[in-house]
Amino acid sequence: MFDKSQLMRGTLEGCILKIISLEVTYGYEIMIKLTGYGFADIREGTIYPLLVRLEKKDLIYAEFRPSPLGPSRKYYFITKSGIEALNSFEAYWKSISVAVSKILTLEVK
Amino acid sequence: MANQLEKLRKENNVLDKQLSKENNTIIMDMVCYLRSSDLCEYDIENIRKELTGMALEAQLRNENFNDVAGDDYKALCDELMKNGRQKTLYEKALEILYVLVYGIGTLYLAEILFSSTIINIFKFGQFAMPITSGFLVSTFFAVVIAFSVYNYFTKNSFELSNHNRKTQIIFIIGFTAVWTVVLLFRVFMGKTVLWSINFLYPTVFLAIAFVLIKRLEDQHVNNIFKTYK
Repeated sequence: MFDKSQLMRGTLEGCILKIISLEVTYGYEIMIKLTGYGFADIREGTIYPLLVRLEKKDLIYAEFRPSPLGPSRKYYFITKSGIEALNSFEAYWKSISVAVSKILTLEVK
Repeated sequence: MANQLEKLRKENNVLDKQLSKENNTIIMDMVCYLRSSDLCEYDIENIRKELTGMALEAQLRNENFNDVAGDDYKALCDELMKNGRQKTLYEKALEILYVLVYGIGTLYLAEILFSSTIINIFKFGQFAMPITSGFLVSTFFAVVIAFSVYNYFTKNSFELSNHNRKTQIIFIIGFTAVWTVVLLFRVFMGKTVLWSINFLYPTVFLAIAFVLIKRLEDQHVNNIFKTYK
């Protein structure tokens, strides 16, 4: 069976960057948005390591802010290099998705 | 300036108290397992804070922690270990030195208190301390065992926590057996004096080394904290 984890990781990273670029947000909210857009089986635990990775690569940064529900929450912001990474992800995704769609619509002769 | 790591640890200890018993065990196992990695201590405490936050919010939403984090906590930790910031050589060296100086210092203090040295000091005003082969061998074994036990516990936190009785019994028997060997070394080789030393020299050396390492560590953690801010 196809191992989706590799494809998911790269794709999710791009999508998380996009979500954070639109609005300052936190882990649980990102997860809800991703699920809302159709990513099935996504949990906070799935995206948390990716957020750690993006933060380590300085594509996002975070700060704790008070939360109405429980302890303070970590809110994420996009950095300048994060915006650059997002732009290159968008451009690459457009080109690759067209190519993949063409290949997947090929019919057996 | 107080060590930011200690401050964060205290904050986390306060947060822990709000966790349900089940979630507390899960978070404890996860943090314990993370300690077996090369992630730096400050980052582990940050991760602990975030995981605790996730668990507390899940509790308030009447959800289980596995609804939020997934069922495979070990896999989540492995992902975090892979993606987090790794310890630098400097951080590793400081950590090892701290454990060594603290461990050896404690054993050295115990040797002073439980050997004839303490009597010689107060009764005869003599500062000479006999260094026996028993003390050296048992100190060496104690340090090696402490490192091994720490590694075993952290790497197997999930298995040990799963109430695997067989593993726990084997561990307790092994642990007791090894410590008995160390104590036997100390008792039976205790009289073989290798040389004598003024007990103040190692005391002063260990105290200075401890203070120096602690200051360097505090400085380093506070620098990391500033870059995070």
